[in-house]
Amino acid sequence: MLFNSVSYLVFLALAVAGYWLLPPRWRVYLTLAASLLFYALWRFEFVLLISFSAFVDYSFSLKIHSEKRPIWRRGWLICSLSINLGLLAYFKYTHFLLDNVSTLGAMLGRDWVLHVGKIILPIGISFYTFLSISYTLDVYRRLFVPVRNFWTYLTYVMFWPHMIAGPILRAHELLPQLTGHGKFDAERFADGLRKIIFGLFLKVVLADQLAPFVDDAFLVAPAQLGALDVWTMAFGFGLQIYFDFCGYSMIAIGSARLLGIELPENFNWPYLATSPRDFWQRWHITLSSWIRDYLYLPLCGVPFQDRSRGGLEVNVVRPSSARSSIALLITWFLMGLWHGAAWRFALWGVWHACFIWLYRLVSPRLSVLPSRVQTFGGWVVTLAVSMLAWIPFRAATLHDSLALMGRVFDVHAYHSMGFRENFYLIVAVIFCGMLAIHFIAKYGANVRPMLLRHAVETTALALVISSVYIFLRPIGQFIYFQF
Amino acid sequence: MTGFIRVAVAMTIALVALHIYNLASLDPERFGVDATVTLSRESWNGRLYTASNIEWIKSLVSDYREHPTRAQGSCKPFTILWLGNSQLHFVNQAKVGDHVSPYWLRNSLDCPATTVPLGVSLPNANLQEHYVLEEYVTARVPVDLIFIAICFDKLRNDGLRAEFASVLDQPDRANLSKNAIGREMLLLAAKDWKEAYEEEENTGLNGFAQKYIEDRLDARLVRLSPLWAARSNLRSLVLVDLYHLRNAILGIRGTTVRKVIPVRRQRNMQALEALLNNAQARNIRVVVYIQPIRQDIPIPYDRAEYEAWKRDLAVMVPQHGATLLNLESLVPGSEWGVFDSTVGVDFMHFRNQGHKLVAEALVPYVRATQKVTRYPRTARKDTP
Repeated sequence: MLFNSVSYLVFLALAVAGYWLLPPRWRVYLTLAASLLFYALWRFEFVLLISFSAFVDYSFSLKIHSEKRPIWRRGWLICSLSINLGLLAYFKYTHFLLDNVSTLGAMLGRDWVLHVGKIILPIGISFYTFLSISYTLDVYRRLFVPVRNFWTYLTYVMFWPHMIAGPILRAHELLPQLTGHGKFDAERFADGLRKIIFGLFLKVVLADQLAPFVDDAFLVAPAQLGALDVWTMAFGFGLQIYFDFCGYSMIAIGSARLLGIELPENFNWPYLATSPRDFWQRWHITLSSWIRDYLYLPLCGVPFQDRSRGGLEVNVVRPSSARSSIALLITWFLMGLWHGAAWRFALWGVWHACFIWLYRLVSPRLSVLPSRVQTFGGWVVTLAVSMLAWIPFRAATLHDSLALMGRVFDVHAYHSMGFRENFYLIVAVIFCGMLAIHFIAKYGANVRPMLLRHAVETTALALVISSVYIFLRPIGQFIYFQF
Repeated sequence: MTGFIRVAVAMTIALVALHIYNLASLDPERFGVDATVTLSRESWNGRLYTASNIEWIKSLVSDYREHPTRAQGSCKPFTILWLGNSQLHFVNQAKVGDHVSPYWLRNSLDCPATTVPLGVSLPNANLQEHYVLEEYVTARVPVDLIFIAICFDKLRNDGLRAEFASVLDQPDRANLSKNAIGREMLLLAAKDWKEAYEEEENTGLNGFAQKYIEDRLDARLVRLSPLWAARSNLRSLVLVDLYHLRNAILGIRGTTVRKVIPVRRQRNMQALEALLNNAQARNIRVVVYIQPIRQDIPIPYDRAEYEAWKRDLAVMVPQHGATLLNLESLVPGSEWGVFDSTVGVDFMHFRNQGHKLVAEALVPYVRATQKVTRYPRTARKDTP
């Protein structure tokens, strides 16, 4: 089901009303039923597939928990991971692998072309896989006692606000809330409503309206574009994907909050980050935290954390060591491929890895600079690098990505501009507007008298509601649905 | 509870504001056009021969295809395809008896009953659209002469508007695909057309079982709530207000100099070249004319770019056996109208006398072509 639709709002209203009207012990079952319906309104057959996969994980995690012999525990873990990653590999990477095999064959003069027909990628499979893996690994690490009730486990993995595109939660963060008997809290409820309204605003008013400009821009052949065009495309898509995904996360968090369930924030003004480390503590925080605990820190040989907050806020003991650098590269390479089955996504990951590595190398030498210079310079560089990274993320092919990025580094390409002025203007206005909103939100909380502040906030909310009312249409899916 | 109250108050304010905002309405046909200009649709004996939107163009072409003009005495049928933009179909400060250029042209000729100037114009038409319209019309109606009104400002426009999706049959697309610019145009257009389709449908839900419910809910809401039904009007109002806000803040007026966009210029000029190639291959004479532009005020073009473009045309057009006319100074300042005070002076639409002057300038080319036209004439063989 898409969040940016009237049918979702009706579904949400019915689910929330039913949830609070039912006796607490039945709520988890209503949540499960609503979650299954939510997913089935995309495609029913995949509900069965995911339920089957969940049953396997549930059974294996009980085995892992009850098994005393380490080798058997590891065996059950490997089985569980293989099934999860196998499903992901089949649905998401089969075509990618076969394409590469056929390309390799062509390079060697062999005909290795294989066809497997059309494979429909189940929406949310990448997120679902992360949830399942973290559950099984947490049980294996003895951080968590597996639930005995399969329906409760199924509710955890299929909980509709986070199932398709996160936020990615650990079992110990969500399960107690799902099975607990929370009390209705009017303030929290109102806050949930506000989150949904602002989330819809980001999606339908900003992301969906920016999308046609960005889509048109990426259709133009790279050779016809100037460097400023590429920068505008990078910023345009950077803003679009931020509003799209942040909007999605806000609706997810707001929807859960209407049920009295707290999900962690996924974004915290990422384009104000002053370093790569800071960026990954602000962008897709729950994914960064997952990667930190289940991939990066284990690869570094450093004790992992156990929470879906904080992002990549890690201090590896010897960040410049070879092991740490290799771990960094592998982590980001896989993170890139997780986002999409194409080499351009791997390029996106490696680009970030290189930037983080460079930052680690350079940052100790920059400490002599005044802190304001460090902050401002850090912001400008981080912004430029993270925005430019969106080029391979959005371009049609790896070849196009490299050609577009090449334009940025061509001094002569700064003389021409290939788009109508509106595109530059819209991107600039939205970017500056975003910065202005941040500072208003930051310093507006101190405004006295309270009546004035409340009047301004209510008027702003009314404006946002009006805009959502006008623009609410399911004309585009969320970008992260394709991952 | 204060949070709840605030959300409720905000929702109430929003609903009231939307109701008030919706009191205004917008006519998309007249967007950016001042009340002083009037659309003139020309007819001969009750039969229309000018059209200024895709639906009218389709019906015009269908009419002349099914009921071709017959010879009358010594007057042989002769068809002119006249491609243009809003200048061709609007009369500024129109009075009774005023008409557009195709009318004055037809009435200046010796055989007006059998000489049909098919005035095919779209507001802000670019050369890519001219190219597609030329393909479309010549595939269906035998054309003897083509007039192409070109305007430097329209080089900034790109692609084919969504309505073109209904114009192009498979053979038209196949013809366009024969050259690089045609393929590029179709590729870009496919996406634009998809977006236009999405405007109307909940197509983000294609492939979702949810679409069935969403479509019905949407339809039910449209029936139940006039404000919900008015959302399309509200969206247009918002976008138009943003447009005016941008113009007000940046001081943009009709006379503000606009730079050419190289990629678009290139695509439009390639489309013109493809159009001329086609006509040459089909032995149809073409007269390309640079549209009149108001000369008593500074023109809103970058002079250097404009002159370079005219030089390019002077080289390109004759290379394809076509004639280039520069009519930029043809219409004196007194024959241009005024425009909305928020936008500025109108440098695009002239009065009745301007239309007469353009027609007079083109009459010799019709006469010269009529002399050499051989009969019988047929439409192209690839007609769908």
